[in-house]
Amino acid sequence: MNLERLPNEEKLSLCRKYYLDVKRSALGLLLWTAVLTTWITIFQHFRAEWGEVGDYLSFTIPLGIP
Amino acid sequence: MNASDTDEDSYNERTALVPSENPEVQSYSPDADHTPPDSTPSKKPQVTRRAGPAAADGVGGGGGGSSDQEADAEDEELTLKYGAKHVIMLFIPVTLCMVVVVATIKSVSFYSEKTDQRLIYTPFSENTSSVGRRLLNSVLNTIIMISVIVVMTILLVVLYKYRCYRFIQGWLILSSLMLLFWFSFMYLGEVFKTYNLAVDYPTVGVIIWNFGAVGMICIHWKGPLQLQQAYLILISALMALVFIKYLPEWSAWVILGAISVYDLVAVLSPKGPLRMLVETAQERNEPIFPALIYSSAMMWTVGMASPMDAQRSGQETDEEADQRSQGAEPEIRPSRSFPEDDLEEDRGVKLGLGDFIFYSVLVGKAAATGGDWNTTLACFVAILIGLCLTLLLLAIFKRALPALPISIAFGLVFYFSTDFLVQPFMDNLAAHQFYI
Repeated sequence: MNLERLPNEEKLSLCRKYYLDVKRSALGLLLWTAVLTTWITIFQHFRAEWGEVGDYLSFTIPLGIP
Repeated sequence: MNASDTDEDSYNERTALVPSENPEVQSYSPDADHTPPDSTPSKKPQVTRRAGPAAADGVGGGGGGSSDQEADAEDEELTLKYGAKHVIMLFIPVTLCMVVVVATIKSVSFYSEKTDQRLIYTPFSENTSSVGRRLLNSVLNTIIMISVIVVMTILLVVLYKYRCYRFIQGWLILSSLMLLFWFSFMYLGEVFKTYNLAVDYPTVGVIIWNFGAVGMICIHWKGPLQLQQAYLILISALMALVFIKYLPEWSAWVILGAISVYDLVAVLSPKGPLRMLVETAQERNEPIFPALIYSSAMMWTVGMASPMDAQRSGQETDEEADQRSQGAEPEIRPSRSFPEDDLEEDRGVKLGLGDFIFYSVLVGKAAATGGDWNTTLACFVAILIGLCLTLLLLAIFKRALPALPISIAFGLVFYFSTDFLVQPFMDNLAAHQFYI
C-alpha cells in the first residue's frame, strides 16, 4: 500500500482512524500518568511506616535513616 | 553472575555482523563501467544494485551509455558530499553510545567494581601471583572467547545459507528479549542504588515492561527510525557495560585486539563467514536482519510516508517517484523510471551493532581503569578517526569492510601510550606547576 496512491477520501478515512488511535493513546497516557504519580507519591510517603510490607514492595531500599 | 548462553549468543551474532557495511553503499559513485552485472548503469548515484532491476527500463536506458567525463566529475563531487554526510551520520550514534557507557561507568560504581565473577567464556582468573601467569591466562581466555565467536558466526552463516530463517529469528528475538528486559532491569537497579532511591516493584515493572515491549516492536517489526536507532544504541551500550564489568582486565584488551584481527579475516578473506553472509544476502536481495545492524536510513517503504528516506528496493513495486513524475498512476509495474528530483534520497550507511559494542568497550575500559579523562578522550578521538578512515575506504572500495580493525588499533595505541606516557607527563607538569 502506497500512501500517495490512495484516493483522497481513503486518505481522509485513514487519517481519521489513526487520529482516533492517537486520541485514545493520549487518553491512556493521561490516565497512566495520573495513576503512577498517585501510587509513587503514596509509596514514597508511607514506605517507612509500612514496615515489612514496604520492604517487600521495594525494589531498592535506600541506606540511612528515612 | 554466570551469563547464560543467550547472552553470549546475542553478543556473538552482533559480532558476527560486526563488519558488514551494506555493499549497497557502492551505489555512491557508480562508474558505468563498474556497475555490477545485474544492475542497470545510471547517472543517479542513489541507484543501487537492488534497485537496479526496478530501474531497468527507466533511466537505465537513457543513462546506460552516458558514462561521460562530466558525469564522472559530478559523481566524484557527489561521492565526497555524501561520504561526508554519512560520516557524520555514523559519528553521532557511535558518540552517543560511548557517552552513555562512559557516563554510566563514571557514575554507577557497580560497573567498574572489581569482581571475581566471570563469564563462563573467560574461565581463567587474573588474580594470579606472577605476571607471566596472568598473561597466559588472558591469552587463554581470549582463545576460548574467539573460538566461541567463530563457532557462533559459522553457525549463523550456515543457518542463513540453508534458509532456516525461523530459527535465526527465534534466536534473535530471544537474545533481544534478554537484553531489553533482564539487562535493563539490572541496569536500572544499579542506577537506583547509586542514587539511593527507594523504588517499588510495581513502578519498576511498569517501566521495564514499557521499555522492553516498545523496544521489541521497534527492533523486530516497524517503528519510527529514530526510535529504532535509539534502542539499538541503548542495547549496544548495555551489552558493552556487561562486557566491561565481567571481562577481566588484561583479557579485555587482548580480546579487543584478537577480535579486530578476526573481523579483518572474516570479512575480507574469500571464505570468511561474514563475507559469505553479506554476499548471500545480496544475492537473495534481502536485507540483513535489522536486529543486528544499525542503519542510518530507512529500510522499508511499505506504509512509510516519507518519500525522502525511502529506499528503493528491487522488491518494492510501488514507486512514489513514478507517481510524482507521471501523475495518477493506478497500476503497479515492476519497472520504474527514476525522475530527476530523486537526488534527495539517501540510503545511508549501515554499521553492525558489534562495532558499537566493541568501540564502547574500549572507551569504557579506558574510563574504568584509567579513571582519567585524558585517556578516555584520547581513545574516543582515536576511534572516531578510525571510523572516518574506514568510511573513506568504504567509499573507495565500495564493498563490505570490517569496521573494527582500524578504530580498535588506533584506540589501543592511544590508550596505552596515553596511559603510560602522556598521563604521567601531565601529572608531573601539574605537580611542578610547569606550564608549557
